[in-house]
Amino acid sequence: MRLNLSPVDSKSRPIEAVLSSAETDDKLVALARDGDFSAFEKLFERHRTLVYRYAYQMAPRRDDAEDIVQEVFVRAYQNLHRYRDEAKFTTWLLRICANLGTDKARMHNRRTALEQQEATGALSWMTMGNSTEDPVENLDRERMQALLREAIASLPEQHRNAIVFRDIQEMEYEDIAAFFKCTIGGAKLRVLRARRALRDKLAPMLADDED
Amino acid sequence: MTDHEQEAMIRMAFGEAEPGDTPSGNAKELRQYQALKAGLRSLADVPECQLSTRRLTDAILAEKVKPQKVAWWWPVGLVSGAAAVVAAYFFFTPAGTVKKPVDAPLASRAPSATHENPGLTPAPDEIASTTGDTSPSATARAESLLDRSKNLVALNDTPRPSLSVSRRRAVARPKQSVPDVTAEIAMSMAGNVGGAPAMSALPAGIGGPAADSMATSARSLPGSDAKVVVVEPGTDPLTGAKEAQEVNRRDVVFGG
Repeated sequence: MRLNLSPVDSKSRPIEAVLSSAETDDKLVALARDGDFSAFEKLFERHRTLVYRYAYQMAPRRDDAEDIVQEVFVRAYQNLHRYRDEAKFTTWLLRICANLGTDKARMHNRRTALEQQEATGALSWMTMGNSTEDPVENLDRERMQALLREAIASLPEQHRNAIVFRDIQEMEYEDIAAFFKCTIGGAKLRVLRARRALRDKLAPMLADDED
Repeated sequence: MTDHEQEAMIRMAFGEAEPGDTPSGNAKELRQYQALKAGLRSLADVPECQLSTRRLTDAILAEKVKPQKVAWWWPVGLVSGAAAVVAAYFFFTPAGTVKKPVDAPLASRAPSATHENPGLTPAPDEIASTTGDTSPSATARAESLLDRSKNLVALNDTPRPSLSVSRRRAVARPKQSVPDVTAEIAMSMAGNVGGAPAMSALPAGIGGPAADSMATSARSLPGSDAKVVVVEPGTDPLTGAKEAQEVNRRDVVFGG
């Protein structure tokens, strides 16, 4: 099941609530523009997880990702008058996050590399939070994820966003097309090319796994 | 394997197979894509976001109340920039085009009746009353003379030089001849300017001190064919008005 872009927890909410929430985003934005800060707080509560999940893929540490989310919403609040209704509010938020996250991700990667040199990877155990009972399995999983993140980070920005939106965030092609400002067919093509590029980067490692 | 077949294989590996897609290609590549899909799915597990609304509110408030930094060199740059602009203005502006206020002596030399200060032009009935004749015909004649004098002023209204130049030349150059409206009117009333009948030929009663003064000012008029009225010291026994005699201007020595 694909996640809808607009709501945060579509799995736990009825479809009517999901659809109605998408309709009321514009109303909340209008209220926030008129100075109603509680309306903006509702928008934040509704969409912070979506932005956070995207930010986490660029800077895979919780505090860094939260800093990015905070910055995204601060900028969104400051630039509410620039938001146009032709795009979804969530698409607009993700564009802000993409613009912000590129620099933040570079900072994060440099800092992580330094920390890993000092602590030989001990810190990554604390930040990933996906540990299981088996330490060996954790190590393999950790190694795989680190390789994947490294490969994704090395992709061009468009390919990286296509992989994150479709294969990690599981967004609909319609929303991906809105983000890229292209057709749905164009969005599918970008995702295909991104997958092929990622597989070419990981082919040696994937072949080792097969062996 | 063609691109189309590879795309179909990728779609199948990621669970997005379309109706026309058929399984093709090698199995190893398909397994690689399936492993890639599983690895990417594992990245979706992220720790919970703990960013609170309060923290966001504080951040927004901090952004809004943050004072704008002013560079230390800003006042210095502003003052030096303003000085440079003023210096450039005086350097590149020609000397004659700088406007300065008109000084009082120069203004006092302006003509008494021009199109710029119409308030100083006497009304036709006032001129007629100074001659002692308040009849409608005298007023009409004075009015026509006033119109002619205005036309003369307009013809002589040449473009003025810049004030700075006129200020420098105020003493050296001869005074610009501007027709004296009052004198011309008096001349016309008293003589034959423009072929008008001489005012002195009219019955007695027309004249008086005002006519004397106007005739005196007529001495400055150019032209030797003009006639002037010389007011005699005696009086007319019938009307009691002063006697006057009309003579050619060249026969009179003014100020002698």
